[in-house]
Amino acid sequence: MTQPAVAPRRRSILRQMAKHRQVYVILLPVLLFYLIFNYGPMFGNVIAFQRYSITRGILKSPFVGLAHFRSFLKNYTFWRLLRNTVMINLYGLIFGFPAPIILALLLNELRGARFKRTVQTLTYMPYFISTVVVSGLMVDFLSTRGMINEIVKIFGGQPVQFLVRPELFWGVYTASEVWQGVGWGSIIYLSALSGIDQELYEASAIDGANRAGRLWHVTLPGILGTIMIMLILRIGQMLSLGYEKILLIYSTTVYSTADVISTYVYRKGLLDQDFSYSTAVGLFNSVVNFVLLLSANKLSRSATGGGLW
Amino acid sequence: MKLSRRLLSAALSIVMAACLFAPAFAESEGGVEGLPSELTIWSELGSWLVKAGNDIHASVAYEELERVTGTKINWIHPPAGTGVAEQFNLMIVSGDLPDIINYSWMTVTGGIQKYIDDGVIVDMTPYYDNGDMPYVERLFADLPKIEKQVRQDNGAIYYMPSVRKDDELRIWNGPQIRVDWLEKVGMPIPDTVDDLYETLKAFKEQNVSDADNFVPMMAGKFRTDTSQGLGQLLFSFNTTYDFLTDPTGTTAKYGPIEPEFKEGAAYIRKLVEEGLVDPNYVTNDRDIIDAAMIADEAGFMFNTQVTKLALLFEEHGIENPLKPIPYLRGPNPTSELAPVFYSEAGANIMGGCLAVTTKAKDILSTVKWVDFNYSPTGELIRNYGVEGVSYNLVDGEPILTEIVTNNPQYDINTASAIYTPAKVSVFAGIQRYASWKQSTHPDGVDCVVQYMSRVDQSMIMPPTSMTGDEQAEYASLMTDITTYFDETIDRIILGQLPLEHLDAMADQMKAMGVERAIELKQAALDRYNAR
Repeated sequence: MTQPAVAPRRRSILRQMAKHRQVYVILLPVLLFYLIFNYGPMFGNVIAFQRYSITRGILKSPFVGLAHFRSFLKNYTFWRLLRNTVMINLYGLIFGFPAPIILALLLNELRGARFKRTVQTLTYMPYFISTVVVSGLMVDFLSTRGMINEIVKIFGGQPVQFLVRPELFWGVYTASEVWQGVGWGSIIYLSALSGIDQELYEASAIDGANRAGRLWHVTLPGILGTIMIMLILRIGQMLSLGYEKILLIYSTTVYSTADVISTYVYRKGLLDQDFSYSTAVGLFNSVVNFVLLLSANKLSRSATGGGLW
Repeated sequence: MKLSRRLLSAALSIVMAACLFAPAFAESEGGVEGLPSELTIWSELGSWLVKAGNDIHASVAYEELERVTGTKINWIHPPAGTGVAEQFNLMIVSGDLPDIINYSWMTVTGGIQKYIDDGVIVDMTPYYDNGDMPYVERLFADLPKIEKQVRQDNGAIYYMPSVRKDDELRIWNGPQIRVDWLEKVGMPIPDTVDDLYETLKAFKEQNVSDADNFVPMMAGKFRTDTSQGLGQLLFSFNTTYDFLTDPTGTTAKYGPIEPEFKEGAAYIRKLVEEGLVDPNYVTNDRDIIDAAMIADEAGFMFNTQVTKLALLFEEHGIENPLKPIPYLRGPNPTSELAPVFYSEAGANIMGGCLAVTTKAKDILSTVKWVDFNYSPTGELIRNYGVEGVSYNLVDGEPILTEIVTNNPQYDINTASAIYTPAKVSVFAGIQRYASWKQSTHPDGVDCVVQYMSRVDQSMIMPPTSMTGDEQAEYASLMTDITTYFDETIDRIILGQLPLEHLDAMADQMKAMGVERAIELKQAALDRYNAR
């Protein structure tokens, strides 16, 4: 009599689990992985509200409330970090996001299978080079004695210090990202393209559509869902810019445009060992990210009727 | 009762008598009275010793120390190639502490006081006052300046550092020039920065090198003592990119906001503008610079640990054409001396320091072991190794053998790390110039002679200390200020911003609280001078 109303339903879930226990056992390692490596460390974020001391540990360090957040918002680098992080990502979104789509569409129009495969392989290649090596190549190629400036000199130009001029950093960084990721990024669109019903092309050809028309009315709508999903994922990572590459190619001279939140966290946390402060900055970054992801999803739902969830 | 007491006293006197003779006996058996039988020590490995097999057991000198003291040492080393500071933090967080931590305690993040307050390491002062550190006591009596540097503001002794007994050992960075090219352009060794400018210009105009990428001066990041930093040119202008004192050592100043800084920066900017300095200095590292020197691509630099490049020249089968020159004097010099601001040149103590942890199994005997490192025997072993193997007494003076100076397997630095670890400042103890001279490449010795000839160390900020709260405030101010300085000064030097921007830079630094940082530094300096 005292049994709550949900009891039968819960029992049925348990029965379900018992019935499909093999499936749940398979799920277990994945769940554990996320709990241990993704959710567990989140508790460490508590040091963002403490004055953490390595000799006292998390349990005994004194709490300071939002002091670290306040001092970050007041810091002279705050607006610059935010601007650089957003701008480098925006550059990536404007130039880096369409690039693989364009490449995929171009490849799709190719008829010679061998040529197509060669181009594909060549464009994938840079993706497999380690970031450290790519950065080393960049520093070498872009220095005043480097390959690119040698070419500039052949054509009678003045050597440009690509990695030392703040106004060039966003462009140089984005170009290198596109170069490295365009081939790999096009794979998912190529697979979406192969899923388009060939009869649609035939029908549109009969209706008198030329190549451009078919591209616009058949191909693009065919992969629009994929594009939207990729866009949402991308926006969700807006502020979580990888620090490795920037760290490897920036120098103090270009801090004004190259310093982003993640490189700042790295310097503060690992070099200056200001653990609490850098955790606070990192947490701030995550919260902004989360908000962006929510709004991107909402936008997508209202625009295309579908989102991530 | 009476009988038993008499028995006891008899037994005691026998024990005491035995104790009296113990050192003499014990030493021949391989042991010193009062020292522990076993110790666990956490310590970084020096880069040279890593070359010798990644283990301090490769160090013959420490085996000898184990034999003489009778104290077996279990070493714990952070894995080579990982950040030592990170490994140190991990050890502290884990709470799993060894008996002794050999670490750069002088510059530990947050200041050493925190580690005392939080019960990580032991305050050795009571043991010192109790006479348990006789050798350190003697060292302090002989050299009061070392006592002043080791003791904290409150008079406490928290660690025992690497002690450079002779002032020659405080200097190892300085200018080097291609003397063969000096002859080629027919100019004397530059004396002032103006001479240097003329010399570099002559190098450039007369094309002394055939190399395609020739640029007269090679340099590294502006604000570095140890990576051939371009900012070292400031020293001749009585200023630097960091804190300094006035010539009397009583007033703390921050270089970049002082008027002398403008003159120095204008000079450096002129060199870059006229193509006399490699404009890539911002991204240059030591390997790039060394490679350029070997490829005849530059004729002047500020070098550090000269032996490395000297050995590299030997590897390439080239006779080292770079020669050290005395520190450059400023324009219109008024003094015979030239100032430098290398932080390590300001003190006789540095590098690795021994601190006893609260987890030490027996604190008293561990402190005594620390003390023994500063004994004449400890000093001898650390500087010369094993008699008959790495040194012989010639007329009462220890002279290193060929096993160190001309080792068939290792280069001279690695060999000295194995046999005479005093040279590697990561291990605490006493270092002597007499030994260092014997195991150092002649080019390195030449540097010390040249640099010592007219060095002025009076304006270097001494190793002051701050309380935990002061340190936290100071660090949070200065990390932002130095970052701002780094990015702004390079843009000014490279001509991206006008020279007048230095005033705006000083104003911005004041807005960021540099004056408060100077106040803190001044207070620390006052306390240091009052020690």
